[in-house]
Amino acid sequence: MDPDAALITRAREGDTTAFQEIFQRHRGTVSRIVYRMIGPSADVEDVVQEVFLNVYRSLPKFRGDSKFSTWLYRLATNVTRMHLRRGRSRPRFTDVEVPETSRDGRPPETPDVQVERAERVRALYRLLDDLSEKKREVLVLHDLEGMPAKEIAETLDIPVLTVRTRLFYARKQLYAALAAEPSLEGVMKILMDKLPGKPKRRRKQDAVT
Amino acid sequence: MTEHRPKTAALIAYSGDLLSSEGRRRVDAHLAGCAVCREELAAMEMYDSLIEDVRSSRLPALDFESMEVPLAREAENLSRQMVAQKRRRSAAPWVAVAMAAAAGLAIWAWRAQPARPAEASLTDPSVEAPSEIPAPAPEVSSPLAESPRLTPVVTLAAGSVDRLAGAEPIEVGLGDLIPEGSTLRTAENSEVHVRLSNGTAIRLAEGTRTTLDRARTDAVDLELREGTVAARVASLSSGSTFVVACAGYEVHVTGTRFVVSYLEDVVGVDLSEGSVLIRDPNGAEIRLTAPARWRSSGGVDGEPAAPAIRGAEEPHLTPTPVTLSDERIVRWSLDGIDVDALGTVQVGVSPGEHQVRGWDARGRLFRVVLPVGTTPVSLDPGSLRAQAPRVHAGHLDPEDIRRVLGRGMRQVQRCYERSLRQSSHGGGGHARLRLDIGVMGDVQRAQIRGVPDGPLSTCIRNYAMRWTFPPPGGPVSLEQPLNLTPRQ
Repeated sequence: MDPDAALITRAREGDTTAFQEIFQRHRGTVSRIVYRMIGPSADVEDVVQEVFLNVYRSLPKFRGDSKFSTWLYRLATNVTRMHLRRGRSRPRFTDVEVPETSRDGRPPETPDVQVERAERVRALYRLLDDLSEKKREVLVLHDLEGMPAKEIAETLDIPVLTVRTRLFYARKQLYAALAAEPSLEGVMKILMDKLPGKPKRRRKQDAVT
Repeated sequence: MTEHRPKTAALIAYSGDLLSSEGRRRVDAHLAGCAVCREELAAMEMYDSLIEDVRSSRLPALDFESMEVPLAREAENLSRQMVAQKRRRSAAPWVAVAMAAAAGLAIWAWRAQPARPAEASLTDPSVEAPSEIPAPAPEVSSPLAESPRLTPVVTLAAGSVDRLAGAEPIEVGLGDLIPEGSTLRTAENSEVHVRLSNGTAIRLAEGTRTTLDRARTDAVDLELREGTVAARVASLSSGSTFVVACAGYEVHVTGTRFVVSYLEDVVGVDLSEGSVLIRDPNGAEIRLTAPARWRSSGGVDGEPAAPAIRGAEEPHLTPTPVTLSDERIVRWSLDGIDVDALGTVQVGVSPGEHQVRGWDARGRLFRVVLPVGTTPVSLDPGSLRAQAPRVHAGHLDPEDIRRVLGRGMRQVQRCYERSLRQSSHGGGGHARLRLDIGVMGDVQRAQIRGVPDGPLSTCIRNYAMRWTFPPPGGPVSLEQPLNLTPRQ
């Protein structure tokens, strides 16, 4: 039996440990989605907790028409969307620490490189703030979370074609914004200098799946 | 002459090596002479690299343990509800049989009585039943009996809220019962949440006046005279109604989450769950299915509003009153419910630890974890802490400020001269540039006053965001006057 299905059945019967197991089993995935969606922020923990409160309360309504993971992604996306909407009227705390990159055996980055990378990540999230909610969600789920277009379509309950269209226009808008972003001017210049005649090839796997 | 726009799709195909050799040669030839397309291609490279940075970055270490306490409490509440529901469901057939038998007996008893006087009405609670006619037991679900009343209880009161029942308004507080026929009023920066005993929750936003005409198990009628009412209606049984009347319109609800507003002579409905039927003053009907927004003045786009309401989600337990008051705070958030309020907020919460957050008029965030037991709790204003990392202010040497701003002013001048070349009026004159500088000396935010939004302000802001000061050790804010005049 699907472990999620068994947990849901137990939770619906009032087994409190089943709720706890759902949290422990899926908190990593939910945290990752929330973090990718809102970026480096002090609010990540609050949003993750809110997602699970909503998961608990909505479990009786889960009919099993879709996979539990798809339902969970949808709920996490909705809660994060509401959080971002509420946050629009509030100042953002951009001086939150950006976590280190996983180096996987590579030599550690120097502090200068780390600072530069953190600034680039912050710049990306600043630019993501300018995308519409719909474009941002698709772009984050596809490009940052690595979710296939078909699964995004199920999660957001939109046609696959719409996912592809939104992704295309979201990237297009970001390309223009990146080119005009002052904090990335130096990197842009280096990349531009490399380009004439023989631009560096882009990985195929990042094309729309 | 029109500006050249890069063909993004072609560039993606080019960079992904998806073009034929001929196509690739043509793009190569174009790129050699097209700075705009080269820039876009470089931006694509940059984007890939940024995505890689984010994808490979580790998640911040989250404190899952602190989440476990409130989640376990919620799980316990829900478990209790689920077990109770299960018991009710298993008892339901016997209850239905018993109810039907009781109803049959009541009808038989009523028919056996002498004819009532014509003016007597069993359904009018204001008319006392004559002594020879036995009043029907309220628990019996007879078609002739008045349906049982619901109990509306205030679950959150923020700012100034009162109730008009007679000549004098009565101040409304947490836990107050709201009788049928009462008119509730909220002042500016105030709101009130009310929970009915069937689980339906209603929220009156600031500047709202609403009369609770009926609160029965089979019918809830609200009359919205002005302002905004949001509701989360519990599942309605067959034949039950929930109606909001407003300026001749009627909004009939069929188990849903919605907002009805009456602001500046426009009736509005925002529907985030379920469906409603709107009947206009001419009797025409409009059916809405969520998500939908509707205005009596015409179409409207966007997502429907769906504010959280205290009491909508929680089981009907005996809550502990909590009073939040801090003169600095203009907006509170408790357990995910946002309240815009000046003055005191009273709210009932279940025992445990609660996250309280507040924002002051400048948007600064304060927070505290509030332990709540079974006795009423008031938040000590001193316990609200400013949100990290605004721990202490930093310091910048005036000479360092002059050095950085001196260089920066040349860039500001370039922005101004460029804007003069692009348009006849450059938006010049006196302006002020405010910089918020972070712990590491980077500019976190740049705001310009005295220059309208447009290319000039964007250019200055973009440059300002690149300035770097020596690390001040804490946040610092600066304000620099700008004298925007053409160079002589």
